[in-house]
Amino acid sequence: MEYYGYAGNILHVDLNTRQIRREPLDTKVARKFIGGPGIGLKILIDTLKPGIDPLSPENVLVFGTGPLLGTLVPGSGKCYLNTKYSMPASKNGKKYFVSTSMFGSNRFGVMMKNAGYDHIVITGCADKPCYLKVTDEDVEICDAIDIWGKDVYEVGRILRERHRGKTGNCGTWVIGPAGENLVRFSMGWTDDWHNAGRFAGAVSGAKRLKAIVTLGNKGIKIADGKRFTKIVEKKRKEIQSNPNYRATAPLGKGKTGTLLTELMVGIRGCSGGMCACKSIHEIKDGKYKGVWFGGSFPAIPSMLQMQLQLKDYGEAFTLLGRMNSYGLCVVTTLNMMWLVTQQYERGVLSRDDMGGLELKIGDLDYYLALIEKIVHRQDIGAIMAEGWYPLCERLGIDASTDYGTGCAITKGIDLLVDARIWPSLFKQGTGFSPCMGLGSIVHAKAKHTHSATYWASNEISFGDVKRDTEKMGITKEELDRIFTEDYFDTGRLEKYGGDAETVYNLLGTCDTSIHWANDPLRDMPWLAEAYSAATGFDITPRDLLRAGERVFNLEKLLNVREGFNRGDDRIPPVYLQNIETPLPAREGDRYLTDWFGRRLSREDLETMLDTYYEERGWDIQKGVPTKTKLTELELEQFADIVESI
Amino acid sequence: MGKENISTDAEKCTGCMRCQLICSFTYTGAFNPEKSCIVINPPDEICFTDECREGCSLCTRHCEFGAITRLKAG
Repeated sequence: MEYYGYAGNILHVDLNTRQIRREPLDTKVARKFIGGPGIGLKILIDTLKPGIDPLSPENVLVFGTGPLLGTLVPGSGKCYLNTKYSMPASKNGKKYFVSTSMFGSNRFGVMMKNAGYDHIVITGCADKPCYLKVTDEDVEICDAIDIWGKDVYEVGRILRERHRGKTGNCGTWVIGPAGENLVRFSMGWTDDWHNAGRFAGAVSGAKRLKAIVTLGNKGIKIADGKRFTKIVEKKRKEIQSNPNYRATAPLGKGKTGTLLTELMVGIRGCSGGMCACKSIHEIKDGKYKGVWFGGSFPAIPSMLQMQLQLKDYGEAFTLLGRMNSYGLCVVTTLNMMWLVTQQYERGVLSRDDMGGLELKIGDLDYYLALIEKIVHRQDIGAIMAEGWYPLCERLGIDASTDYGTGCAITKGIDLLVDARIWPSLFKQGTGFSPCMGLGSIVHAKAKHTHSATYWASNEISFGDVKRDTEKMGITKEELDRIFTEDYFDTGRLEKYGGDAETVYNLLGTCDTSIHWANDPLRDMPWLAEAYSAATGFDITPRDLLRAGERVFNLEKLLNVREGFNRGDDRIPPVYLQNIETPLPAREGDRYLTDWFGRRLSREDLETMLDTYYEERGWDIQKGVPTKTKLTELELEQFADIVESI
Repeated sequence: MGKENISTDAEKCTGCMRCQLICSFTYTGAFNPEKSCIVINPPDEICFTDECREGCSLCTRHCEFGAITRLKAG
């Protein structure tokens, strides 16, 4: 059968038996779950045994692409990783969430599809370090003894030299020493510039899988090339003429933005991208001349410098570079190092606990030594490597309450940004992210600020919020339930924001760039038309949004099966407290507010949760889908999951 | 090889591959970077294969970052 948009195959690799199997993509599954995490989560609900240890051979890693990835649709470079993640999400260490990581790519996704595969499913555990080579000619489990232990940048370079294509690099996904040593907040890297799979590096490390290489030239065919080209070109021009369009990521305002601009030596983006959100910065003189940092979140060096009281960007880049090269999540490492340092200073931790490390706040060498302890699991680092719950148990602190750093934790992971601070960095009093705080509470994995929630990075008006919501493809009745003349219901809006954002992921289009650059892509009718033209599977905007809702519910089902319910959608206690940090941008009171600047109490947030579940058609008390909702979404075969709780 | 009507600046290349995508889609009917006529390896290299069509500059129209630009005649 000829496939359009899709590559047409799913690759199954069992590292236990070294069996490699190619399975044609089931078009019924493709039509129902579209692609990306839709198909990835469907594979998991069919194959993942509930209750397993995420670091056991039974866990399943699913790498996925979407049907628009690798085309000229702006921002169509997004790939996905579905698995059971390695961070303990409960005090007893028995609960772990199943979710999606979305990540950018240059060659990885495009070459995966050109090798002939929409998804790669990996099970088992290799008897020795290996990497997977996936090409259109063959699939091979290769020996990785020579690259085991090497950092993410070096491994990427070696593999690209070894498997170079005719017109450029092969695609690469790699883990660093942190993943190999099962540090639970380790992550993968794709094509050198894209963080890929926060909390999944250890899952790969446990399988002794160091990397995946992709390369091929099968070609991604389009069902109706003429129609596809016409609508894509029209959208490209619409984006170019949009006043918000910018080809590079904003580097921030004020002193930090100026400094980052001066130090910028390059930008990188994803395949198909009309805007590049990764930037590379290098220290130009002095002691740290030549030290560089590359990534997608330019505020990180500034966060590092201020939180850890480092002297300058030279030190911040050095520390950041070390975390990245080891394949550690920078944000979790930063938060955890600060907590441990604070507890050391207070005498909760002794010098023996720290392996003789002398406390020196603001000292780069002290922090570098602490990173070594985490990655190599020594002294306090061995406990840190196990995640927030084990660490806080050792320290006698509740992981989900404030410990003085302003870090909110939900389902065992620290949020990438704090909803109390983030909006106020850009607009005093009100935020540009109407649902971010709520989104991070209700999702299976508290994702990026922007993923799976309605998010806008520009200062938008009430009218803009309403316009964006209309463009999600919702009905007038639904719109009327959300909006009054001058107010919107955050809980109800979050439901549709989550579904719409899921649609972007199903297709393989970037949700990030939509928010700050490619606003015209927030257009469900256009996305439905692009999908129809690319694949030949006609779909209405309403049905596409419904597919987003279906997959959102599917992810929830996987987590309900793991024991999650409303009790886990817990409001981080720090969200109810004022944040007290020395950052100039955070001066004054910083309580969690709604989009209109109204301070939120616990009761307000609980009410917000009630309306969110109600709009989702879920059981409000349990916070899980009802059988009626599952039947409506054609997921009735999984109803026993919710009926058993 | 270089092209007379096209200027390249590999340091500006973001690796988006839009040039390779439009090239391969136009001439092979599928999105297939390995069958395009452009070799990219940022920040070191952008060049064209021997199969590159004389006078075609589709890639310049799809580069948003100034890495591949069309030179004005004369």
